[in-house]
Amino acid sequence: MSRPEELEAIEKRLRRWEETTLRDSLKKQPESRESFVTTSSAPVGRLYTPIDLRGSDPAETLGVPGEFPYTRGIHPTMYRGRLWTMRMFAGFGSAEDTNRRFRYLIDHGETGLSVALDMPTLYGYDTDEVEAKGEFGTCGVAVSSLRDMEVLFHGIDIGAVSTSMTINSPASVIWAMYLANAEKRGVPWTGLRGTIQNDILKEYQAQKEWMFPPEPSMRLVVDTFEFGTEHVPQWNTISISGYHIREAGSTAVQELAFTLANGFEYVRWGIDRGLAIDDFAPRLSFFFNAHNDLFEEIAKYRAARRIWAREMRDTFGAKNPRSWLLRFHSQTAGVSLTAQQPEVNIVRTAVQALAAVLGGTQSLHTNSYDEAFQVPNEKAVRIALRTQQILAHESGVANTVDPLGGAYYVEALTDRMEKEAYDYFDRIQALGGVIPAIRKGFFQQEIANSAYRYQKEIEDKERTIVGVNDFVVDEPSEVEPLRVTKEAFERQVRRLQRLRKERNPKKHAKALNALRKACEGDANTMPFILDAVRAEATLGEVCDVMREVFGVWEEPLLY
Amino acid sequence: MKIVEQVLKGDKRAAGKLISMIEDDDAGATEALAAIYPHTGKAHVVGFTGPPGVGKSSLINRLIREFRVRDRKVGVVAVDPTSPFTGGAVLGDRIRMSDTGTDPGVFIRSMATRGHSGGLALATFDAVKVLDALGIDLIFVETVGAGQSEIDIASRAHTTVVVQMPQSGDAVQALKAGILEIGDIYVVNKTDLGGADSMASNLDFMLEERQGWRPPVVQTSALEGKGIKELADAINKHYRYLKGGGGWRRRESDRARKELYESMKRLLAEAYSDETEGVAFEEVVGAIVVRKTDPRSAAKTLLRDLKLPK
Amino acid sequence: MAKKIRVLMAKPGLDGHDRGAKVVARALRDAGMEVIYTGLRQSPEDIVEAAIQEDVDAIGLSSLSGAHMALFPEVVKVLKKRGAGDILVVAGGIIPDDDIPKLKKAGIKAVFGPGTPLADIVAFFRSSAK
Ligand SMILES: Nc1nc2c(ncn2[C@@H]2O[C@H](COP(=O)(O)OP(=O)(O)OP(=O)(O)O)[C@@H](O)[C@H]2O)c(=O)[nH]1
Ligand SMILES: [Mg+2]
Repeated sequence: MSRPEELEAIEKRLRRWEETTLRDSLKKQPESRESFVTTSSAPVGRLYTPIDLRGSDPAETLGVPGEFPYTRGIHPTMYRGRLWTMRMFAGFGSAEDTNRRFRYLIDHGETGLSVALDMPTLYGYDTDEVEAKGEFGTCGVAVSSLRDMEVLFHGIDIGAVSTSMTINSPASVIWAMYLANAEKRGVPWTGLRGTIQNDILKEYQAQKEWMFPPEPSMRLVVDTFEFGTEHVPQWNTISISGYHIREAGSTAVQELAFTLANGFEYVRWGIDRGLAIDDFAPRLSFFFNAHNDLFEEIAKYRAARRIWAREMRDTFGAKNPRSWLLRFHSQTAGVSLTAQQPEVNIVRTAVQALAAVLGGTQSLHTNSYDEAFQVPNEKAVRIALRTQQILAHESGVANTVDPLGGAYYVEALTDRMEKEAYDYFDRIQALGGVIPAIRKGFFQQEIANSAYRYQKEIEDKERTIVGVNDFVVDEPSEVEPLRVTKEAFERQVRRLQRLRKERNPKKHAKALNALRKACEGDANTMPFILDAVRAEATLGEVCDVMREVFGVWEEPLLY
Repeated sequence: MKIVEQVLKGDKRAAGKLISMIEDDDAGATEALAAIYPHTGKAHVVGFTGPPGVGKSSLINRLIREFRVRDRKVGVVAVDPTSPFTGGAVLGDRIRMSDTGTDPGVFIRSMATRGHSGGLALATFDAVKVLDALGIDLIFVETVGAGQSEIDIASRAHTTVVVQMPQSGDAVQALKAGILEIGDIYVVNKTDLGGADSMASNLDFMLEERQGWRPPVVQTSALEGKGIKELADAINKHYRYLKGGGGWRRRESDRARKELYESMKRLLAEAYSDETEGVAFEEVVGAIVVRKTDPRSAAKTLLRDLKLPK
Repeated sequence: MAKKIRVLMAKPGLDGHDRGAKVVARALRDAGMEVIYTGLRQSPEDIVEAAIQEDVDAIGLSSLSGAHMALFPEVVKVLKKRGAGDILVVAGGIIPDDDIPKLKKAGIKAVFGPGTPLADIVAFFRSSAK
């Protein structure tokens, strides 16, 4: 914090500047627009100076890296010690197809696996159910049974690799299959590393891939916290995700605020279950979007770390510093990719990835330039991975910790976003908390409003999107589409049918019955789900039992 | 007319189209309505009113299923507001009622108010007639959940269901007086949120018998499907009461009277918006302003000389 | 009273990405149309049934999950079967260029890819839904 006399001197100097140099310059060359805004339509000033940071004490708000409040990063040395994990999201078609892609990525230097699952799997349906029609393998890989999981990780050292699985409503079932597979291969659970997304709250708010109403869904989530803490201690049982909130159209502040509010909700549920906060909080992880506006994104990550640390320590009383750390994965913004001049997406992605790195991410997925159309092809994925490698090894940005710390603009933006996030916390509180606010459609409405405003700004050319509403060329795009083959579908269906024939029907029925009882009561469901997948119950069968007991969710409709 | 025949045969596509013709005030609409009128009057029309978001659509959704099980054909006309600024509307009730999907015994129509006040659209009850003629037994009308809609629906439906949700005792005391007089059945929905018992007994305490019918208070949770059978039973019971005690006839007369007045008003408005008549009308307006004549006398003269549009 | 354009917005299939469908719904509303949104996860039969009861001029289908080839032509087929082949069907979402001619051949009147200006979409509904 500058001393008062210093601030006064700076203010004087600024006023003089405004009356002389600036005024003359504006006369000769007025600014190109009346106002400047971020990607989230937040106002941006002409110049930031120590005046903008008046009243905030850097010793307190910034501190040093690796110490509370972690604004500058969660490790003392950040990327000087270890680079972020380059984790490319992959999955399409059958387990065989995706297994091949995983091995390709590992061969090209990828350091963590990330599984995309197809739509039916995300909704807890088997490939051959009517609800799954036309959806097999298009957005990810289909995993309907333990056998699919075995094929998916065939020949991959699951004791060594860390695996992230993007699965939410049926997360506990898919995780159980991963664990059962490890068990069969003799890999101890204590050595398994990875993440299940398991963030159901943002599904109700943004991505809309749910099965049950909020309360039973939250119970399943807390079941995994409890089970993981005891049996799979290195696993992140949740990745609290702002990514999809942003993709659905929110602003950066909404992404920040809603994600953290969700995080606090999970903590509350964990505590209500009787778990000790310091037992489960260190396994909570986060997932943020990396969008176009470089500085706004960087400020978002820094504010997130600071808020989380403070609330965990001061509001929830966590004692273990590991509980205070906000560790996050990031992914460049899928929505920002354009179908027009798709190669240009490579550049967009590079800028977005830079934001994530400058913001101190723990792992990163860079989108491929063809992702506006489809699941990416191999070459496109390689370029995306190379983008990260250039940032890591050529750009020099990883050489020092939090290189933008102390930049007046970035610090002012960080402070402002923090404040605006707290304003949202108050509003959510006033609605009765996160779940009541979901029931009232609050988040959905806020997000839809922002999405519509953003689109209007593009339409009205208040915002330039290169290749879309300016710098347009008329050329057909030459993107090689990736198709799911009919053979892959048939192979998958055959495997399912064989499994239904070969498994032990008595064991199968018994396991599902036990699961139903557990769901009706209040036991932890994880051991029962595990038994069911060991008995080769399919994903759809397990989820049907839960659907029957828990009911299904319908969303409040709002525009 | 062909479209009328099709509707009478139970053709849903024709019914959908005829309702649009009425909404758009299409050329053939009046004639078609006249042609179907003799075939109407059989359906039981049940109005739903209550504040926004109390669960009207969700309840209707549950009731559709319940009455389908009882083998009744069910129709819905659900009204949502038109934006006064753009004239457009997003009609959102249907999404809550989508459980029955393609069941041939169900017909749901969403309707925008198109500037009509009172929580209904001008075409709402003409659409009800179309559904009636289509052979639907039970028709639910969902009003816009705001303000003054209660009275309007109560004077047109056979049975009016007023939906509320649990509130504090004070809030119940403060319920608009009008609300307590128009309902034939009161519902306290969202019992799963708690506080429904006291709300229901408070309500029950304030309600009085009218013409031999004491409005029951039914507790429901549309979310959990609780109290739906009871609500369906109450609706049936009210129907039997109306049919048994002559209330049906009275309500039909009330409705006929109201519709007659409204049709006359509409004809008059149309007559004077016509070009030549409109000019004559404005002349009389001028004469009133300069005190050459007075409004009442001028009205008499105008009506005596009125030529109605065809 | 002038004829109002009525549009049904539907999301067949499983994916829950309704950002685009909702933004378009609002744009149509702001252009003075009446929009009926049927919500997520509708089957082609459900969509056609709703379109008939609501007597819409057009149906907008949106899918981002890649299930469009399996589901969109089916909607046109069921419409025809139900004698409602005059209701216009248009599609939006992530649809590879190669699929566009196939969809058109199957009776989808227009395909709006990512980045289509809302004004174009509004204009299309306005001019063809007469
Ligand atoms: N907890 C609870 N929520 C309910 C119940 N019934 C409806 N809801 C929820 O309340 C919200 C509004 O329900 P709707 O059925 O759309 O209410 P409505 O009265 O038709 O609303 P408008 O048409 O907008 O006036 C939705 O989110 C429903 O899921 C219930 O019994 N319990
Ligand atoms: Mg409603």
